[in-house]
Amino acid sequence: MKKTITIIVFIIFAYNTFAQIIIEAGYGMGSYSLNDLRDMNSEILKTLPVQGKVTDDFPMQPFYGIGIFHQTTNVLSLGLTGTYNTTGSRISYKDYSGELKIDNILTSWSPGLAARFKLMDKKLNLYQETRISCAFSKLQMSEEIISYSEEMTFKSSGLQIEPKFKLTYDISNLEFGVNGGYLLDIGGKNKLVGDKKSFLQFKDSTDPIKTNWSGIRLSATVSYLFDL
Amino acid sequence: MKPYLYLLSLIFMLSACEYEPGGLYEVDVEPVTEAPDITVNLNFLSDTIYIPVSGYTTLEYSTPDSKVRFALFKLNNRQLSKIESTSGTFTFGFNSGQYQKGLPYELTVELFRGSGSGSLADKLDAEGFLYSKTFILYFLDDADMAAQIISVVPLNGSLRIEWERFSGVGFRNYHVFNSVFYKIDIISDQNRTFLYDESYIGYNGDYYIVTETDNGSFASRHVQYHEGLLEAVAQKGVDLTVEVSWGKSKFENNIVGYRIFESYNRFNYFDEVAYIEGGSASGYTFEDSRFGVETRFYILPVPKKREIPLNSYDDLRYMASSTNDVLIGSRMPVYPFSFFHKPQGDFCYFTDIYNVYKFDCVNNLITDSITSQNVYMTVSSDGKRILSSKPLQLEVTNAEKMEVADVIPGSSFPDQEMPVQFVIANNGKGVFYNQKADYYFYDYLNKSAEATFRIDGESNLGDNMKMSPDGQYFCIRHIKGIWPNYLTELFKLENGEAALVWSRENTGFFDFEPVNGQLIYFKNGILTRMSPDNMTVISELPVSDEYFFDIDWNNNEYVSLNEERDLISIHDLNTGELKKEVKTYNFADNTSNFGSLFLSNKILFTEGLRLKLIY
Repeated sequence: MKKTITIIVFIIFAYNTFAQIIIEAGYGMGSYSLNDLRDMNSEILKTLPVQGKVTDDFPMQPFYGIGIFHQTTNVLSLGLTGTYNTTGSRISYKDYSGELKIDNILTSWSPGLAARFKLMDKKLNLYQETRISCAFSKLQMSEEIISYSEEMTFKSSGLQIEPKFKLTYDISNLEFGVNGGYLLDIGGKNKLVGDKKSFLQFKDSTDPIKTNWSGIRLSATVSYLFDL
Repeated sequence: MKPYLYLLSLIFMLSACEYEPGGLYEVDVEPVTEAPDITVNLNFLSDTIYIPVSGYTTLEYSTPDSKVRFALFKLNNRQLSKIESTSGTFTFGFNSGQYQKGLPYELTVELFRGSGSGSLADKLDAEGFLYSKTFILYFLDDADMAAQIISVVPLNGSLRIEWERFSGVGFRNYHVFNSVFYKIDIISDQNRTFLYDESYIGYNGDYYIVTETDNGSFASRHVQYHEGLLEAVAQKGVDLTVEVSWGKSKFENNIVGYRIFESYNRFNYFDEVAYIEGGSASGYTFEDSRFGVETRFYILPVPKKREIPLNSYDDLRYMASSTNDVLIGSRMPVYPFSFFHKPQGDFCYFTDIYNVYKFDCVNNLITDSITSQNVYMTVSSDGKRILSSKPLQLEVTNAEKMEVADVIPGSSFPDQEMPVQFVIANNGKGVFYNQKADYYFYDYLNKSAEATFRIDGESNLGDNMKMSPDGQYFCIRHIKGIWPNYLTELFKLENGEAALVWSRENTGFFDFEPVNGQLIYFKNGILTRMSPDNMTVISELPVSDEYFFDIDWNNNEYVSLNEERDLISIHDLNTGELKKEVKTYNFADNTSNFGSLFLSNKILFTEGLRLKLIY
């Protein structure tokens, strides 16, 4: 994977010697479906010896993005992008005799390719951008019951498509923009680290528990344009 | 390359920013601080436990308390087993043969019970109470494991058997036997160490307590108990009644009733005559006991359970209380009782070899007597004169005063031969015969012979001789030819001669009616009354019984005996109406003590015995 990224970056840089390069960083808020993981928590609640409660349930969280684009024509720019998402959940119970805590911490890196079309070129620019990426997710499950604790890590990967609109304002070589879109994630099995044959699944249906990051994405970006 | 490096640095930096889940759900749970009582069930009950060395021993510790989670067993501080269970039952076994017999071993049993507070630690069995108890184990041979019988005592109308509680492990059942043939009960409750034997009524108390264990072993103790049968007493009452009584049984609740038997040992005979319900009964009155039979009564208690069949007289003797022999009737002078006379009036007369007795039938007692030195005597039918004999003389006695009125010396009789048997009529005349078998009509008052005759050429002492009240007729029954062929002949004193006027073969009873002198005799089931003057039959009365014994002229009743010789009947002489029945047994048979039967003023007389009847 690392090798593939290196080759892509090399091609982009090599191409930069002939065109305009845009480097972009973003920060936004995303909502996450993660319906399988939420159902998993419900099942866990039923099996607990005490009546626990979900105190944190994969809430909306900031995400981070970076990208590098090459303006191929006046209308089209192609680029490489990457986003980082993280969220989590907690099942909690505590009384005088001790505490029970089951935490799920979910992170994801999504490198991908993006195509950006300029729809309006005035003081404000309007773009439509579509990003296709592969999400590499990591789920850390930790369980603490009184003095007992256990931790497991699962990894999954899945294909994502994120169409969005982008409105920008240029100041010299800097471009400030706001973005709105929706991310579609087909999700992937959560395989146990150290034993790839084992994966998370529902107890009754034996269906795999997938990590589905789908949801609305709102973000702000700042870009720097290099005239080569 | 710098932007590329910046980009990677940014990626790694962002990767360190993982989400931190938050929130705490705190629940208020009340802790349980005092240990609750728990109930446990063990397959051993005492603090000191005896274990058979043979086989594999299983200790079982159970509780209905669902919060008990595990049990720990230690023997002499060495852990034998730790058992977790959610069912509340903890079982472990060990080979008891490896331990030394007779030495004490310390067994510690610990139980962990959750607190029940509902807290997280409670739910995870990490919070609770530890209960501990120590037992002393002794390893013993199987035979020494048996429960000892403590007591066998009559209680609450039954027999209570109590034994020690089994102190071993693996108790399964107590088997309680009475002898090896009768299992009274199987008791699966180890704490129930007694029972009432509802079959015990005084004998056959041979008790075994057999303890069965899970090992399949059986060990027993044994004790014998014998209370004995009740003492029974028979007491004669009036008429034919006999009061039979026995003490109240200690086992009255075990008894459903009493079977009453009468038995005549002389004849090796017994018969069930009554059944009385209820164990509390202690007496019974027989209304129709048997006359002239030594009767023994047996009282056989019938148990609620395990009634043993009565197959023989020996069984009866073993299982039933018996009275002494009781004889219905009152004793009388006995020998030879056949010379018994009952003329008109309230008195009877009879002899033994020493005396002539006068018996008052009204008061049922002997009122007077005179000495006698011979067995033979006679009384006139009006009851005024007694003729009895002494050596070389006959004596005429005033029966009312019982004083000798006249003495007839032997020299007064023809050929100076003393009479052997004699009869006397109301007028002082009569008949006698002497050793030569010469018969004479004789006037005892004038001491003169009126006629002489022979009886078909023979005579037998003991033949019946009757004299008509007027002294005119004499009737005699004697053997004719070979016994038992009898011939009855009637003679009439006529013109200084004895004339044979009538005879019948094989008649039974005969007599002269004391007022009008009619002859009455019994033959072939017919009682015939006829006039001796013209030999015409006046009346005939059928008699259903086989044997005819006597007529009581005072009450005009006759007494007879049935063919089976077990029922004496008294009937009206004129109508045949039955007035009274008296049971007897084998009366006047060859094996009986009694051969004769007389009836006078509602009193039955036989040899040595009388019975006043009420009817």
